[in-house]
Amino acid sequence: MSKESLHLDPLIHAPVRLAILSLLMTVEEADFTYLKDHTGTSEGNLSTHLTRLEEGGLITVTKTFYKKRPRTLCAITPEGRKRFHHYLACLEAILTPEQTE
Amino acid sequence: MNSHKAYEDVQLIKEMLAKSKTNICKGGKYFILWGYAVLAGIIASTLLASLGYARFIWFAWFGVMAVGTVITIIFTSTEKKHSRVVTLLDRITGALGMGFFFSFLLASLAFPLLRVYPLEAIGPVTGMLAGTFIFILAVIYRWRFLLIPALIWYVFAVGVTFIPDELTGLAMAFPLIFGYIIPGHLLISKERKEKKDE
Repeated sequence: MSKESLHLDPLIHAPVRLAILSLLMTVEEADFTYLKDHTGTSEGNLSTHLTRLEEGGLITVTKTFYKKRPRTLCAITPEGRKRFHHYLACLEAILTPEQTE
Repeated sequence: MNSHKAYEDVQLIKEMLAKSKTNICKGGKYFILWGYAVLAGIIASTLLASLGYARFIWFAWFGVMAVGTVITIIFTSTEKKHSRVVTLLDRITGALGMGFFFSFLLASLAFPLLRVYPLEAIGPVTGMLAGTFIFILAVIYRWRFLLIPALIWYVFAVGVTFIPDELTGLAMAFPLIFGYIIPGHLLISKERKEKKDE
């Protein structure tokens, strides 16, 4: 990976968004409560970050109802997976700089 | 970006992966459900054979498998609606179970339609399907204990050929209890333990 391409995706770079994507990479889909519990962030903060990720096309957010209660389901998109993998490659390159020479 | 920040990012990713890396087995209740479905099939077969309606045994199995399939579909869709997270493992297990029992369902429909009633085939077919199903589950769940019930079913698939036909139903009770009901309950307790540890 060249030094020029060592550009960390700003949409993923924020810790909460990175945590959300890391969780969604391992599951098919997860609901809002699961993400809130596992990222340890507040509802408002999580909601803001989910919106950013959805607007960026990295995740899909589906709102449904279960027993008359609203439910938000999140899943990573193929584009999200691709960009997450690229992000990981960048991190690896930063941590092992001899490979970028 | 300095390497320290990159290291922090890697640590965060690792932490999230560790949190989501739970080998939760949601298949326990379905496992037991199918155990009881097979039990119902055995009872129906034994009754039909003793009443002289042996040619209807495959239809009885078809009925049991059809009811089991419908119940599993309803259970699965209900569970998915209230489940907080759906893993790939859940989908694989569900698809695997449905695939195996759908095969048995079709076989139990096809044989009578072909006007062949290989009653002696019920034992080996059940043994092979159940053994293979549990063997794959053991690998997916990374739970070696399940290899024992899988082996029990495989042994039964061969061993049943040496047993007189009238004792086949009775002989099937052994792998059913030790290869299905007991592992099913153990699977549920494993699931509860993992949920508690989470």
